[in-house]
Amino acid sequence: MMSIRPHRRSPRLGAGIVALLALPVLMGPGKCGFVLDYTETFLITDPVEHVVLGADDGSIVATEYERSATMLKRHTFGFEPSLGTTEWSVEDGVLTLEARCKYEGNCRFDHMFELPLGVGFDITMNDAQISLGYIGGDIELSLLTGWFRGVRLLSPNVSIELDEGDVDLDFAAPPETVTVDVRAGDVVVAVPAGSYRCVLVADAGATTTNGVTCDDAATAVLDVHVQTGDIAVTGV
Amino acid sequence: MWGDVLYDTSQRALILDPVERVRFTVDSGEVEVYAFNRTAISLFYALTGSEAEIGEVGYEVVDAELQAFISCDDPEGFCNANFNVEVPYGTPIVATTRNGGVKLTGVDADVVAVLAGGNFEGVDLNSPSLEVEVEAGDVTANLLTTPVTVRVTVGVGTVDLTLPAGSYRCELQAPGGAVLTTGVLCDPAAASLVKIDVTTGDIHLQGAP
Repeated sequence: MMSIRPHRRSPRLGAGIVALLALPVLMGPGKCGFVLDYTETFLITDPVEHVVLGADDGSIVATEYERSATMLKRHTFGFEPSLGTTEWSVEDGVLTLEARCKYEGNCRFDHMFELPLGVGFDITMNDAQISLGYIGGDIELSLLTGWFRGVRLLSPNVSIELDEGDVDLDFAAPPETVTVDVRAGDVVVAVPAGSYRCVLVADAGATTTNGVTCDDAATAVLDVHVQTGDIAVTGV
Repeated sequence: MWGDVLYDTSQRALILDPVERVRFTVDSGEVEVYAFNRTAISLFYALTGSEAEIGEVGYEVVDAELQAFISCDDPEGFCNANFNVEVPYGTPIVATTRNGGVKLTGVDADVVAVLAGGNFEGVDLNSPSLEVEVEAGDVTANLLTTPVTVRVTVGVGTVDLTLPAGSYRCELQAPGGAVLTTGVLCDPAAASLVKIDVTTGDIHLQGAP
C-alpha cells in the first residue's frame, strides 16, 4: 500500500524565507547588486597648482617633490547601486576630484598623489584618514570624522576643521598661520623653534607648549581650538 | 571538499614616515630599488601564489626601518612577491632573498645584500659601502664614486665590478676561475678596499674610463 505523507512546511525552510524577506532591510539601501572594487592610476601631465577634493568616505596620502607630472591613484570600493559621481578634471591649474556615495557608509575612495612641489589642497570629506607629506602649498581641510596627519609640511597656511578625531601636524618650515578647530580629539603641532602668536584653547583638556616662544607680537599664528581633548605644541 | 585560494594581485603604498633604512626579507621574488631625488617612499609589490603556500607578506615601519617581506613555505613553490621600491637619496638598503635577484639603481647609501639564489645588479651606485653575498648567481655592479669598501662573496657565479679608475686595496680570490683587472691600480696602501671571493667563477674588476 502506498502511503502519502502529508506535506508539512519545514521549520528551517520557514526561517530561511523570513531571513530572505528580511535581507533588504538588514543589508540597508544600496547594498544589493555587485560590489565594485577597482583601482585607477593616472599620470596627469597638465600643470597642477591646487587640488580640490570633495569625497564622502576614504583616505588620502600625498607627497610632493621635484617632478613634472602628477601621479594620481584612486581605489574605489562600493556597492554598484550606491556609487555616485566619481570624476576628476584639470582646469586652470586646479585638479578637481569628486567621489560620492549615494548611501552613507556604502563606499570608500582611497586617493594617492605624487605631486610637483608647491601644490596646495582644499579637501572636504565626511569620514577620512588623511596623510599629507612634504606639501608646500596651503592646506584647507574640512572633515567630520577621522584623522589628519601632516608630515614635514612646508605649507605657509593650514586650516583644519574636524568634528571628531585627532590632528598631528609636523612642520619642516615655520608656517604663517595654523588654524585648527576640533570638537573632540587631540591636536599635536610640531613647528620649528621660534616665536608664534599662540591662541591655544582647550575647553576641556590640557594645553602644553614646549620649545616655542608665545609672543603676541609674533607674525606667525598658531590658532588651535579643541572642545574636548588636549593641545600640545612643540618647537623643534 | 578542499580548495585553495590563488592570488594574483598587487599593492602600492606611499610611506611618508621618515625612514632610515629599507630592509627586504624575501623568500621568493625579485627586489628592485630605484633611488632618486624624491620625498617619501613608494612601495609596490606584485603577489602571486596560493594561500596555502604564502606566509606573511607586506610591509611595515618599525623603529624608522621600512620592512618589506614575503615568507613562503617553499621558496620554489607557488609563492612569489616582486618588490619595486622608489626611495629618496640617502636610504641604506638591506636585502635578503632566498630565491630571487636584487637590482639597485642610483642608490647612494650603504648596501648589504645576501642572496641564496639570484643575481645582484647594481646600476650607477654611489654607495660608500657595498656588501654582497651570493650563493649561486652573478654580481654585476658599477659605482660612480669611489667606495670605502666593497666586499663581494660568491659561491658559484661571476663578478663583474666597475669602479672609478684609481687605486684600490685589492683582495681578489677566485680559486675556481680567473681574475682579470683592467684600469684599476691595485695598491696595498690604497684607502679603498675591494675584497672579492668567488669559489667557482671569474672575477672581472675594471676601472671606468
